[in-house]
Amino acid sequence: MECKDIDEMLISYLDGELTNEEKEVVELHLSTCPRCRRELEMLSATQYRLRQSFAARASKAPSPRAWAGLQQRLVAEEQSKVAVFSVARAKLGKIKGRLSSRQPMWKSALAGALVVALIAGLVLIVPSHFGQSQEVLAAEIAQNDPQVHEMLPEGTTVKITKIMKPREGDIFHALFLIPGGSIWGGEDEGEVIMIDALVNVRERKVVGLRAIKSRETPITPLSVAERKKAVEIAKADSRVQEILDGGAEIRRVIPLPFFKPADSSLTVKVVGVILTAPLSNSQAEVAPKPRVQRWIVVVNLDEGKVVELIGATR
Amino acid sequence: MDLIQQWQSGDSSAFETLFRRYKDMVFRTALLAVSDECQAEDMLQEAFVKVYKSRGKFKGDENGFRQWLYRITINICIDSHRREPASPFSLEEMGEAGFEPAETAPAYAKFEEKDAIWKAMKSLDGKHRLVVILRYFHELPYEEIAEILDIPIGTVKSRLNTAIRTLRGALADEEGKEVT
Repeated sequence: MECKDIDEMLISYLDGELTNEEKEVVELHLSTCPRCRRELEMLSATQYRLRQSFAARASKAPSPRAWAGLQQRLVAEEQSKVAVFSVARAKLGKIKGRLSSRQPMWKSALAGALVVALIAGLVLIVPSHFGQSQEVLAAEIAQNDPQVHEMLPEGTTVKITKIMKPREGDIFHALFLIPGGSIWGGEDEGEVIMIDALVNVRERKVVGLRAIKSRETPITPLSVAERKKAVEIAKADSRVQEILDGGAEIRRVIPLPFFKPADSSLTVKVVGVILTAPLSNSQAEVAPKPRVQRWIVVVNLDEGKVVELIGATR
Repeated sequence: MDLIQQWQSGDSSAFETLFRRYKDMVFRTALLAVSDECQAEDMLQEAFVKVYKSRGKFKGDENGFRQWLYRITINICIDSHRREPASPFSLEEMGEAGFEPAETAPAYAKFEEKDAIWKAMKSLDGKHRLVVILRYFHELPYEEIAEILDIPIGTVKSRLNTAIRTLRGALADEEGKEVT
């Protein structure tokens, strides 16, 4: 065999990719040809330098934020998928009948309350903080479900406000917040509708839809002085004292926007002082699951008294 | 149920485990292909977005997954070469044209200059560069490279021959300069 033929086999020889017969031929030639031996040395040195160079440049790892970045990107990808979906949505009408006859429960549950409309120009947005891919998947399933689309107002931006993680099972809740008066003609100002899509992630489908209607109530943040006053009023109450003596702690003070004492006007400022205490051992034995006892002390700041004491265990 | 089956059944923690297991492989391949960490990280994300989307399509075990992921990564590298042909200005050229390199630049430039083989590597076209990366960085056998790139083994051999000889030429030039 000539040097030219051997030359073409040298890299495969160095890489251990020759058959035994080819290897023998090459080695026989090398034993008698100093020129090919030099060529082999040069190629071997090149491979060595290349590996060194690779090792020096590729010792790095991606940044610790790589996983979080990927999650955000997946969410962004889902958004673009929804945009594509909206283009194809005109075809929805054709499949609507089929879908509703297959799963009529959602329709009966919402009958009368909802205006069924085909959607045009709808944009859905998933908040960027959704961390886990199962949640992203749940959002994707909810967003792409034609039944969900029918429930959402046209020409507006509807946000998935929350994806709730299941405590057990595979059901996620995708909540769409819809301002009142958008497509729900005749609704009062300040009325809020939430569409809750129950998503079975494992089966990759929406297994139920609920509409939740509620009234919007603005929350006025409490000042430091108001919080302090609320704590003082609560502590002065004998029932609260007893709970505190029993080992409970004051955890926080919150506004209670929905609390309307029957005997007072709307201007009265009512706040809640939250107390918690770990359950005693004897109680824990009876009910092993709930481990914390919680009380809400409803305080009327204007009148300086405790209005109500609500206890709960969780 | 193995990791791949878990991932395909929708287990998000299995997807995360696959990401953590293969992120370095993908990132380093991309880094060698494009020489830019930000871009390599972007390509890492792109690769796993493709993995995520193709969950239902993939068929095979973890070894097959690894090969498939190599293929995805390589395709992203090829696309990035297509999108962004070689930068019109190298650091060295800018220096020659009278631009003052930034404070931190000289050390990096010096490193670049010293590494003649890397300079030559960067001058290779995408298809040769990727074969070299798969062989001499990932140390994959020819057969696997052929499968990943979907080319005959003969083509793998000829690309390696061309690439290594180009690099050898650069090395020889460098040694020649050192002598003179």
